Amino acid sequence: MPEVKSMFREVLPKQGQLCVEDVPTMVMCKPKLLPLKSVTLTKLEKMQRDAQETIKQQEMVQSSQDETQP
Amino acid sequence: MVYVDEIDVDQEGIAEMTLDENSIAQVARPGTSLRQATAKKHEGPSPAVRPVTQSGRPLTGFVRPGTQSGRPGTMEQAIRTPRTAHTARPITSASGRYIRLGTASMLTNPDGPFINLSRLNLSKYAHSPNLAKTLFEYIFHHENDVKNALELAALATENAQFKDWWWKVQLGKCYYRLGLFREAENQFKSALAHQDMVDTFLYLGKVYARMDQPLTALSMYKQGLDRFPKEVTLLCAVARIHEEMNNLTSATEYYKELLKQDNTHVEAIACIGSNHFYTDQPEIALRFYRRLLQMGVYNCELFNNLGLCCFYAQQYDMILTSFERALSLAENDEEVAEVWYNLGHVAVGIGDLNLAYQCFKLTLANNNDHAEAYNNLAVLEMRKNHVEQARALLQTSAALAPHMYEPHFNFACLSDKIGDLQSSYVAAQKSEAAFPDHVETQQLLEKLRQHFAMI
Amino acid sequence: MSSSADCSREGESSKWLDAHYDPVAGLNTFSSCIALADLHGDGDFKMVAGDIGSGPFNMKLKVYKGTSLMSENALLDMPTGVAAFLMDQNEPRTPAVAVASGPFIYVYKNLRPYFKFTLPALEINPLEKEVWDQAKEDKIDPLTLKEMLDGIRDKAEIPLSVRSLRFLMLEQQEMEAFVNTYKQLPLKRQVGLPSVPALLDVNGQYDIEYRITVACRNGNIYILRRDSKRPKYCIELSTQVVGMVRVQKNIIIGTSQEILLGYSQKGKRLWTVTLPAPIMTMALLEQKSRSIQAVLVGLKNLEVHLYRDKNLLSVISTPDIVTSLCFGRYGREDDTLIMTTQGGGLIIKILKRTAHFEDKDTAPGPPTGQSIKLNVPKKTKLYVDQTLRERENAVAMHRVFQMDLYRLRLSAARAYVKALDASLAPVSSTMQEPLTLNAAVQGIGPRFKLILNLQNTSVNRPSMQLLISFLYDEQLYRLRPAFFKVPLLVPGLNYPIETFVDCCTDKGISDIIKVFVLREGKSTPLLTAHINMPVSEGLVAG
Repeated sequence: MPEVKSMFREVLPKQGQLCVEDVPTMVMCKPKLLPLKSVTLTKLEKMQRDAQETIKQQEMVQSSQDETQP
Repeated sequence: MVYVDEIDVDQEGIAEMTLDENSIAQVARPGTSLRQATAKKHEGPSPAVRPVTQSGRPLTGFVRPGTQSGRPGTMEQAIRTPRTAHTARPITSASGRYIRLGTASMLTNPDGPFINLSRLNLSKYAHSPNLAKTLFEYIFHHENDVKNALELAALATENAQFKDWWWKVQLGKCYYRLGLFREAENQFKSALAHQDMVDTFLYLGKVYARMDQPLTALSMYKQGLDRFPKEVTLLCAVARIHEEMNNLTSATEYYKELLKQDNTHVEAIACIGSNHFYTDQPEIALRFYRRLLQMGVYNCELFNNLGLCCFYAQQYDMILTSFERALSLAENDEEVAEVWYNLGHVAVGIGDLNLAYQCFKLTLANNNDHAEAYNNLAVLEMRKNHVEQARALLQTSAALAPHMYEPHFNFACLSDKIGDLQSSYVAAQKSEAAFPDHVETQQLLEKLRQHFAMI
Repeated sequence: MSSSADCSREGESSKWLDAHYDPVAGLNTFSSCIALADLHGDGDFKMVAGDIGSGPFNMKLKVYKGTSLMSENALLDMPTGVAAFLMDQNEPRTPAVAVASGPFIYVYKNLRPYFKFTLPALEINPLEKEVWDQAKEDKIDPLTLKEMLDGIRDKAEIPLSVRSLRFLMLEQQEMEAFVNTYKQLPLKRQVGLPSVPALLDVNGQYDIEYRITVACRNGNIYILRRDSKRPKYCIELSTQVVGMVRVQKNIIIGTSQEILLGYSQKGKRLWTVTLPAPIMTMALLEQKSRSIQAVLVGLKNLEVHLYRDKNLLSVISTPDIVTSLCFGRYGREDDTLIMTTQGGGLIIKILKRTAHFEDKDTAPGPPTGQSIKLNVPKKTKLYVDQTLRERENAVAMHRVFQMDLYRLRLSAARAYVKALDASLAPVSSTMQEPLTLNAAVQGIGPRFKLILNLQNTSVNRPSMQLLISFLYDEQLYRLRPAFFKVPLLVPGLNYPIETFVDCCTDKGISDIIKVFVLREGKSTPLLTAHINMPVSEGLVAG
């Protein structure tokens, strides 16, 4: 088998794209603008919080009373 | 004092949503229902730009009782949403806030209730109208005892020979609380026949909205606007309905109209501000939020928003002071978490990835269920090539927030990178379901499909 | 896209006039078998079509005038090409019609057979000739004939004739019939270039200079010139050539890869256009009055595209797949497009005089996406003002920002260290124990289920000897169990660990439960998760 010299001339373009590859890049979640709360909602939440606090206080008072009383 | 604006208060229980007898059609036509996640494709900024809530609608600028948790699709989803005492969606409205309001009021009087309802002779009081009205208000708002209030109202109406519009409205309110919407509708309508009042229009609209007939509600509000032109509360109600139906352009229009009438309306300013922020005009959003500051609103959310707007509008000197203020004003851990999350974004923006990492970690420390922070932390971990950590974080994020497309897409990218094409394909499909127009998801799916088709 | 399709259809009706459509004309033919000629010299051009009929029967030469069939002549063999040409100088100048079928070219004048030209035969394998002679004389039976021809085919250099090849393809039963039919006829062979030619195009005059462009079945295109016996140029394609049209000096080739290629006369590729569907046929559209020269391409998706160079000028929708195209003068109308369809139908369209072809007539040229304007918001005055402010106070703003940034870094670091010390985060940050914990609550009370999703995030090290502990208000909740061991965690898998919580209060309050992941021997937890318990609904009376 005679040696065949392959005459490949490489093509090196001086301008323009040679190869494009699109790799999927990860996306971040977006910054969140916090929604403002309406007056009603603020009031309701405050009430709930206060109620919880009061109940907890009452429970504590009760449990300490239970402890002191045998 | 426990008197709250009844028009605003509205909380649908989970059971009421799933066992709904009032729905007319099984599958509503697009654009006619408040329950459908999105009637049309995303108007305005896509989920690629604007965060999306669980219901599939974009995050709005203002939150009212009832709009907080969106409308989950299944019972399981409803139960799964974090239900704390603050933000919980109750099982039924009977067990919801109202009971808690009742207990709250009781607690303010440690010596026992002011009036013992069971001993009252309601028919006696029904005869004297002034006393009856005050008594009704007490029973309804303070004691939250709807049944007794209803009885009183019924007696009083009878007494007034069915000509007093006020009692009809109160009857309507009672029926609404009890879930008897058709009866409530009748009462409100007959009240309107006697006397046009803005409140009645609003209550009627609320009834229709609850019965998932937004278009009827809109026509009712239009009627109200004909009678009371440019009435601020009616305009606001119309804008809210549009927002719930995901017509952000119409909603913005109405809010703008509203602002022309009342330029201190917090809801309108907040909504328009957030719309401007997400449509690439942060300087305008900044102006709106500054106005709120001028008006005296002083809370964590506002400073957080100011900080974000300053950052994206490149007013660098004011960013961090706003965020610091926000942190100091935060009332609970969730708010602290959100502020740290947004600080993390600022850090990413200036390129300080260490700071960003810390901020997102702090977000998670304050709120273990912050899906966005998990996702962003995963992206940062991927940059450091900690594949396993990123994977775990993305799995958590995707499990916490299946409606967001980002964790699914990122998981698909990651799996693709490590060669797990099967998981990548499954995750990419979920991302496509959440956000069908995302080009990169489509490209990834195409690539994977070719892989699978080749031998 | 549908809007562009709509306006293209509207555009089409402004260019093409529907003259005639007969879906059952019964005309099956190819582009190379249609010719338009003024057969009787009366200015009324007729269409001459070689109909391949249905199968090996019914081959006819049909002549159409107007919208109906004028006359029919039977053909002996399948027509492969029809051309009209002027033979002599007699007045009136009526062209003759040449029909190629089989190895013969029949020339008709005035629709009557005039002349028959036989193509010169090629050399026949003498062995083969002998074998057939033997068959003729019934010396051998069909099977033996088959074996011998097979043998010749494998060994001989000169290929077998068409007849023998057909014979070898037949089944045994038909062989005998075949032999009987053909044994009397003398054997002949067809002409060929290095490969079998499929499409031909001729340019020039025989006496002076001519160019024949031949597309062959081996995917090559040869260009023959007068002065050389061998092809002068050769274009090698990697796919089959389906259609070829010469437009001025360029050759437009359609391939089976649904691509349209444009080549120069010397064989250099000029452009490529990808088509949406496989090509059925191609033809030249030449309108002399406005010197438009374009290529019509019939596609399998019921469309006919018109290309001038690489620009799509127009798209015509057809009700059926078009199998042949011919454009020219028909009847008294210039610019008629005649199409025959796969179902045997005949469509005639006329190009309107007012039709105007622009290069960007129909989509696509640049993709439609490019012409949609991006929704970039306008620069507001406020934005401009703020940029002015930035420019003026740049240094001060930067200083303030940097200072704030340091403060922020400090506070973030402090908070972070605090969180790390107390292991507040649900994600472990040490490399020794990479773990993630996420807790979820299910249930409506008074009994809840806590699901702890624990995941080992290391690459290949399992996590062992881990424990879970809870911290909660014992007045409010009861946990069973409140402290237990965690099984070995394989990296990468999510372990949902469940436990039940009972709420023992009816006051409608809730509290936080903290979950710790501990390692035996260490006093600080590895991970913490805190769960905001929801209000228990069960014990709350209505």
